Amino acid sequence: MHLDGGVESALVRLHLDDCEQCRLESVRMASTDDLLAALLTHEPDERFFAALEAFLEERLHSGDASESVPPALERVIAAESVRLEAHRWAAVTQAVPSHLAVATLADPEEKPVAAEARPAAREPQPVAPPGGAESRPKPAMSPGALHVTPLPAPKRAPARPAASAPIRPPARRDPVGVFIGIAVVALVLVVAGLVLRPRARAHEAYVPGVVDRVVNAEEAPAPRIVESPPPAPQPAPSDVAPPSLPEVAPALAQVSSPPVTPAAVSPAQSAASQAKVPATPSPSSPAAVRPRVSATPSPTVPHAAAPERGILCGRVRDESGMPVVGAQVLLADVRVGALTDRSGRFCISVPVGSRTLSVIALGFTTERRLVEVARSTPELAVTLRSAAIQKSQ
Amino acid sequence: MQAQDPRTPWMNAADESVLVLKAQKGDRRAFLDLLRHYHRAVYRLAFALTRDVHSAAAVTCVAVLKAKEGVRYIAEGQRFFPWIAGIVRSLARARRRGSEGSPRSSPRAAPGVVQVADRLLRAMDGLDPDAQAAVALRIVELLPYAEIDAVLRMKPGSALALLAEARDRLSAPLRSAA
Repeated sequence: MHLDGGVESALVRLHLDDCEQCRLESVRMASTDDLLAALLTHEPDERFFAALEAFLEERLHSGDASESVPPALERVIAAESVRLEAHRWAAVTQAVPSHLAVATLADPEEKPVAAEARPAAREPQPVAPPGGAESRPKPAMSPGALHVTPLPAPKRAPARPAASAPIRPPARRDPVGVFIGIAVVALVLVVAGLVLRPRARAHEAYVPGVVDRVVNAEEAPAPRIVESPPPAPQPAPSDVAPPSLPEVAPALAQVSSPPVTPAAVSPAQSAASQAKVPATPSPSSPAAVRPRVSATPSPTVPHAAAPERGILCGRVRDESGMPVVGAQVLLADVRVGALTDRSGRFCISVPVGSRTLSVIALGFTTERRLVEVARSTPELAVTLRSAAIQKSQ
Repeated sequence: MQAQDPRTPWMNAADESVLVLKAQKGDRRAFLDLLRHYHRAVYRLAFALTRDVHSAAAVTCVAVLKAKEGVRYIAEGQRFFPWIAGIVRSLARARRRGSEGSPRSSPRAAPGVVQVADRLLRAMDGLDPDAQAAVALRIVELLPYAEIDAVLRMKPGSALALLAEARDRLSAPLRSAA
């Protein structure tokens, strides 16, 4: 978020009051702007523009369309350029130290990392000074300046020993990787279908599970997931899980249907949660899935277990009970948020756990509270108290 | 942070429209009145894009001459500064392309300051031309975002996104320099 006066509003100011990171970003941006302004601004005095105007009038009257700079203007430029350049660099010299001081401020939620761990994306190559000092570390400059903003980039799983490491899917469900995996499996299935169709015709019978065996033949020790159940007319999505990912399936199934106590969830919430979980075949046959999940011994895949998420819904009202529309609902520790709708309601999907909920609305005092987010959390009722707004000067 | 007024506020639209119409009919005085209002902004934009006094002066002169020739092509209701700023941008781009590799004037400043400035200017060079113009118009001219959208002929709100991206890219090398 960049705040240089062009998008300023009361809501933004309120947000800045709560967001230390945003305040720091704002200060950094202002100092970069100051430095850029000093570098890019060049304001000649009246003599320059007087000469320019004289040149224009002369050209407009004479009709001369040649694109050369007139000598009179060149003389003014030559006389002024030295003075102006000195003036400009004086401004730059003044702006640089303050900018460096701001740039070395540590982010409130950042952790220092080694210089080589810093992502170099989109950074131009550093300019090597004549003495080649750039290649040497500069501990005296600012040791705490090299930081990585811990935004959504999830941490990679620690590397495992290479000797006994079987081929496993990446810890993070990278969309590109998942897409490539699905594409490869689909390609193998198509090729296998083309190869096996003549054989099946020759035997005049379809052998269930042949395709699965052919696919799994590439990974010999991998167990089959589909244990040839009685042929169902519409196989559930979980039954056609890519067989080349045998170790992910239990973990995914565990994530998608964790052991939830039925008594703790209302029927409506249960239906809603089942609607959001595509791996569950149908509400009428939970037993068909639950035993498979629980019977499968969960292998130790610590990096594959994504954090369990819950749905946090609530309603924001004012003191008179009217819904507050457009209030900002933030869970700062996980950096997610939402705006309330016309009825003052909001719903946020967040990892389960203890979270700090902030509700910000113009004209109301900011409400903060600690909420325990479970997989199904009862609807929160937030009441905002009105606050007097002082008109800024 | 309070919003700042533009260094050269745009002329009243109705007055400008009258001057443009007169200039299109050959009224030199009306054209000069238009130029007198905008020539500082034109020069500042030219300098921010070329970063050289002589180049900026040359670009300003040529832009004014081209504007004189092309003023009849300004559409009805079109603002003058976005139009002439487009001329300045293309001239400055051609000028910089032609002067690539030429040595810059050595400033009289401390080496550390020059190094930081050099990093920032190189990062600026790495931006695409629209982003460079947006930075110049916002930081030097202090134009509002809506007017930057108009100058760059972009959809409303595009300048805000463009500047956010540009500032992110400009601040990265400075952070590493710190």
